[in-house]
This record gives sequence, C-alpha cells and structure tokens, in this order.
Amino acid sequence: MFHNILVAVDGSAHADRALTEAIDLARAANARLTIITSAGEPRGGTMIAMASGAAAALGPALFKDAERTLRAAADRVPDDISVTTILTEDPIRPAILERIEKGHHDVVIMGSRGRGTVRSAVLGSVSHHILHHSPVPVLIVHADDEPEPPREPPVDVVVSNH
Amino acid sequence: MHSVGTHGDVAMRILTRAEDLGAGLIVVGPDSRQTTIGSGVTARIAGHAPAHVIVVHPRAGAIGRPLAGVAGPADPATIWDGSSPGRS
Repeated sequence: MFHNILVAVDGSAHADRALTEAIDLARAANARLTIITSAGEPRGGTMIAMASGAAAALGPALFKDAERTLRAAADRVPDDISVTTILTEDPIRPAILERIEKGHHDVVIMGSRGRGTVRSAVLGSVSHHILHHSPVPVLIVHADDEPEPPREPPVDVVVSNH
Repeated sequence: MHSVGTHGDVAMRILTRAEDLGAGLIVVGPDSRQTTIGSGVTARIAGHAPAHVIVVHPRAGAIGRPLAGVAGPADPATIWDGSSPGRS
C-alpha cells in the first residue's frame, strides 16, 4: 500500500479527477498527500511571443494562475488527510521527477492529459514523460468525457522591442 | 518473415480484454523504448483505457519504489532496452 502520494494538478478536468482518486487513496491508506503544480511554463490557451522580456512579463500571471489552481486543489482535501502543497517555478516534468526523489514518494497520480494538451490528444506530453521516466508507479487517471471547466481567459503576451 | 502484429494491436487486445472483464485498473510496465507521444503499448493503453492505468517501474519492489542495491539505471526505458549493465 502507498504511504506518500504525489499528485500533479493543473486545473484540468483530468487533474481534478486525479486529485479525487489521490484523496480516496490517501484516506484508504492513511497516506500523506502532496499536491504539486508549476508556474514555470504556460498552460493551454496561453500565447507567448518569444522575445526579450517575455518570460518576465508572463511570470506573475503564470504564478497567480498556478497559485489559484493549487489553493483550489488544497481546499478539496479533507481536514483529516495530511497535505503538503508545492508550487514550483521549474517546468513541471523535471519538477515532478525531482520531487519524487526528494520527497520519497511511492506513487504519482496524474490526469491522462492536462490543460496544455491538444484536446484531440488522448495522452498528454507531461503524462507521457512521467510514466516513462518515473522510478515509482504512475497512476494515470481519466476524467469522463465532459467539457473542460471554465477557465480564465487566455493570456496574450506580445513583447515589442520598440 | 512477416509481421504478426503491431504495438497498436497489443494495446487494443489488452484494452478489449480489460473492457470485457470490467477491469477497474490496468497494471503495465513502461514502454521498452522511447516513443513519441501517444505511441507505444503503454502510452496507447494509458491514453485509451476505460479504467485507470498504473505504470510500474521494472525495478520496483512491493510498495513501488525501486529496490535498494539493485544494479542498473533508474530510467526504465534504459533498463528494458537491454543496455542495463545489471541485466543478465
């Protein structure tokens, strides 16, 4: 049975379902739960003009978005489950793999695809990467085929050198 | 010599069987080589499964974490492709 669960969230329906499963598993196994999200890369619907200063301009918006996602996820965890939240500014793939090692997690739970994934894709690039590189079991959770929940309007950032 | 199947066929057979059994969970290992997103047996199963899918590292012990002291690389793709020095 798992004792130290890591769940990755990004505000997508699949991640929400992954969190639901993580909570159920944590309760059943009396396990610790750690929720991780990243502000280190843009999510679905975010357009970036790659020019000098673009990352700095986008940073605060990404951070706020990630913070909001993390807070909403933590609010869903019942009080009787031990939960830790991690907001990383690193890209999510290496951040998850690093956290598995540092946190001594014994399972990773994530949605089959996230907000940044093209809707027609059945497996997201983050899930694909983690399931092939994680040293611990990865539980891939599917949400029902429902419309994605309403999200914040896309952030369009154009940085001009003029 | 002729082809007897493809990765897609294997994934489809596993998925069909899982559906027939009403499985709530499918347990598989990682793909044996680096694959593009959505290709490979495990990736196809993880993407299309009617149930949850748990992918277990080939070196994992009873609770999932890789066994201490077992030789070989940590990357499952490297282990499965036969290049691990710990593989006999």
